Amino acid sequence: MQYADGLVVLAISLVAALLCEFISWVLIYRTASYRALTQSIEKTTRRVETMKERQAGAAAAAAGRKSASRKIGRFEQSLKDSNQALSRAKFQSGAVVAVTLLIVFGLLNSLFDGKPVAKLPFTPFAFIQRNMSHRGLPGDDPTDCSMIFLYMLCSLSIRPNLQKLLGFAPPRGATPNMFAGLDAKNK
Amino acid sequence: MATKKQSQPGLLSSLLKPDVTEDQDGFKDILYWMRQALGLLFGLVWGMAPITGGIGVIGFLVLSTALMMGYYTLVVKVDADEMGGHGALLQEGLLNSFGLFLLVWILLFTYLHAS
Repeated sequence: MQYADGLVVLAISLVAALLCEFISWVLIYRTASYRALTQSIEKTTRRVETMKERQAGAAAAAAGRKSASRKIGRFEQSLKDSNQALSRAKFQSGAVVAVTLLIVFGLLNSLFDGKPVAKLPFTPFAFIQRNMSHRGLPGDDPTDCSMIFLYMLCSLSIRPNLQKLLGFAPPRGATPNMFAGLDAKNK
Repeated sequence: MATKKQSQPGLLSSLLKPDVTEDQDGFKDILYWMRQALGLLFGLVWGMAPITGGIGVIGFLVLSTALMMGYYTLVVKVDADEMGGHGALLQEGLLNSFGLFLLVWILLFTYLHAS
């Protein structure tokens, strides 16, 4: 079957994603220290949110509000420290996962370099063609899809969903709000 | 007299119940998975039809965003400001859903129409 390589790229990406999550689970998620850290972060976050709501809602005296702000500040600092500790814990597994993904990418590159693995139903912008979808491919057909582009789409969709499904996804606060400017403008 | 066992709410009724917004993170997870489901669905439909061209990409972005917004404003009637603003709700799973949509659309198009 022509373009059967696309399915091979998908299958390898899926296996790589499962392998990376397994590595992460072995090195981080099953450890007692990680579980303790995440529980502490969740507890402190809830506490800070409750205190902020109370502070906003109550008609408290200025002195009471000042002391509440100091307490919130202390909890937020503790939250910051816990998040930093979590990042340090994840660093080790992050390095192993990065090496694994590099090896997988190298393998895919050696197998499919210069071969279109799929056909695009649209013509991408020239910038995307040059750097991703048509990279390393012979000819001028803009709808030929290179392994790099397909692998990028697999990475964008498979691993994050797998992490979410398994409960290993990073907390929401780590992701910046892309529409923050729009919300601020409309307020 | 034997009492009737209370049945567990089905998935559909739990999505339509207003108290789904009491747990903000849980509600955002629902929005995330709805986005992924829309990405998969549109990818399947666009790939089978087939729909081609940039209109397919724009169509997906517009329709999936409209459906998400329709769900949380008209069905669940959530106050977006309390949940972090429209931006925060609309961006839940947007990039991953877009990647999933493109992946499914491209693969289906390739094997049904281009091979």
